Amino acid sequence: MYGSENLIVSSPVMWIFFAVTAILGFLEYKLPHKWLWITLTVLAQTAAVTVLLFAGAMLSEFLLYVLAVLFIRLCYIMLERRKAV
Amino acid sequence: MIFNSIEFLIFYPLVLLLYFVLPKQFKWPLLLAASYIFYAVWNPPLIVLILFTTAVSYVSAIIIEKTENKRRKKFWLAITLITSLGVLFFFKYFNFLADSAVSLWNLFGGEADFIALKLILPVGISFYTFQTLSYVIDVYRGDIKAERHFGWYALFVSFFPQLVAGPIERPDHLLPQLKETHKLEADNAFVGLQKMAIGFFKKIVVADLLAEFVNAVYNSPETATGLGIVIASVLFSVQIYCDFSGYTDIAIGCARVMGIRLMQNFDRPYRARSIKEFWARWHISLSTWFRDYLYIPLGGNRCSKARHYFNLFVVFFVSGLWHGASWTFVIWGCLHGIYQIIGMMTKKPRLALHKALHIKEDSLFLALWQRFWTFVLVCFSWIFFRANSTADLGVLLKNLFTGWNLEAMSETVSSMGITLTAVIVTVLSIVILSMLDSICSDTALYEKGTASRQYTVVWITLAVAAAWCLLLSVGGASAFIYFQF
Repeated sequence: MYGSENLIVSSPVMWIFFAVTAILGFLEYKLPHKWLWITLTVLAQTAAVTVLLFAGAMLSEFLLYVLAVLFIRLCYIMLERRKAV
Repeated sequence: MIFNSIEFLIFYPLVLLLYFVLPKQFKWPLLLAASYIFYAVWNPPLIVLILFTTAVSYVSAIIIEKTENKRRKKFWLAITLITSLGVLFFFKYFNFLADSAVSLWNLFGGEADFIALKLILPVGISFYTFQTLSYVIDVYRGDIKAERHFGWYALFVSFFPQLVAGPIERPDHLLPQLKETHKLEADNAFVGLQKMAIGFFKKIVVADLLAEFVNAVYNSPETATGLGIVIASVLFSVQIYCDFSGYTDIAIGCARVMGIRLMQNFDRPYRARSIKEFWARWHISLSTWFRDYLYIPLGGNRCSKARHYFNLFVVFFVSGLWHGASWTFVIWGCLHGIYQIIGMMTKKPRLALHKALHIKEDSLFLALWQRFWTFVLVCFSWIFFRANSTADLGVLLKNLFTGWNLEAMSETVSSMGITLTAVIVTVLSIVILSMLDSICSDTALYEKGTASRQYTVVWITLAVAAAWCLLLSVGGASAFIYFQF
């Protein structure tokens, strides 16, 4: 499961996808029309997963990508909860 | 049948569909049949054992309730204890006790030999035995009325979400819920599915991932270094939490979709500031069972200090034994008993020390300090729990204290199969779980299943991650750790 190394961590393309996810999350957090940002996020994730597939990523790298994206999303959720309190 | 399997993914939706579609009089037979099918997938003949335990406890409870004679009540309670615990002891402890007796005999010059019986440990026997015992004892005490309908009672004993690894439910909590008519409600479905998604994520993504690293050390104790044992033990503490609480989350989620609320079994145990608090947060259904049916009848803390310490030690000795037929589990249980006794003995001096150092009891520093040391003590005790045998345990403890070679640190890490990707995945998973625990502990928000759609995306992501790992895992679905108890 963990035979391959550093595809996600060292690839500039994947870091761009992370940045896009973080920005879209920020826009969803700050702006109205949240469904628009969520839809764009889903499209961005689909594109990222497609890139990973074509790059021959291993399961561990898919997992790493999913977890990183989830972490970014949860950060915004925690911020919203703090704001609500 | 295990939760993380394709069979369950077919079984559960089918049961759900039938449960909500069928008229009320067919619901309990459906759930009962489904529960026995769920259990029979392991080993069909073992259904006889669960039926036997169910029948004995059902009859005993009715007789105990009907009779006014105290001696007769005690007699039937004794019958239930002897038969239920007898079955448990035979299947779980016979080989262990016989082997130990032979070893002891040979230690004193004997030359006895022992051929172990080929006994299959019935899955969930420790759990459903305790559940039936709590029912009969509660009837004996007059706390509840005996259930006259055998079908409802059999369902209480065998309800499939919690049959094989808990939570160990109390009759006054679960039985009434099983008898209610439940309709499909959006809130229950949302919360239940979210709970299941977290459970699958914990088990398939986190626990199974960490198992690879832990097994690399614990399955080869002779070559384990001190650093390797420390890393493996810390990882095991996360693995066992995710494995067991993951199972519980799935069980609670399964039942919740049906409108049935099982009891909470974990409450962020590694936030505990003492071993006593740890056991109020870890495997809550078992620790409360021991409190109500062993600790308090022994006298609890309403006795002399010496007797109190003795009661505590007995409870944890039995708890260790409950976990497994091996001296490593017994020692693990006793260790926790000793931890608590020392904790109580040193409570006043520690409070005095805090006062002398001007440390407030509610300070963040003290909270972190206490959490850290509680975690260290618990991690150390997990070495005893995880060791494959007492011989391995000896080697592990020896290497823990003497097997330190700082120059070979990177070799230790790579021999465990730890890569950069694995480290990032592990750390991210743990952080994500902490954040999820924080969200889920906000019950007012979490209970409202139709809350923020942001959470829906989170749960779906967790479920997708778990499904990926399950479908693509090389070794196939792995069993939950607590199935062996």
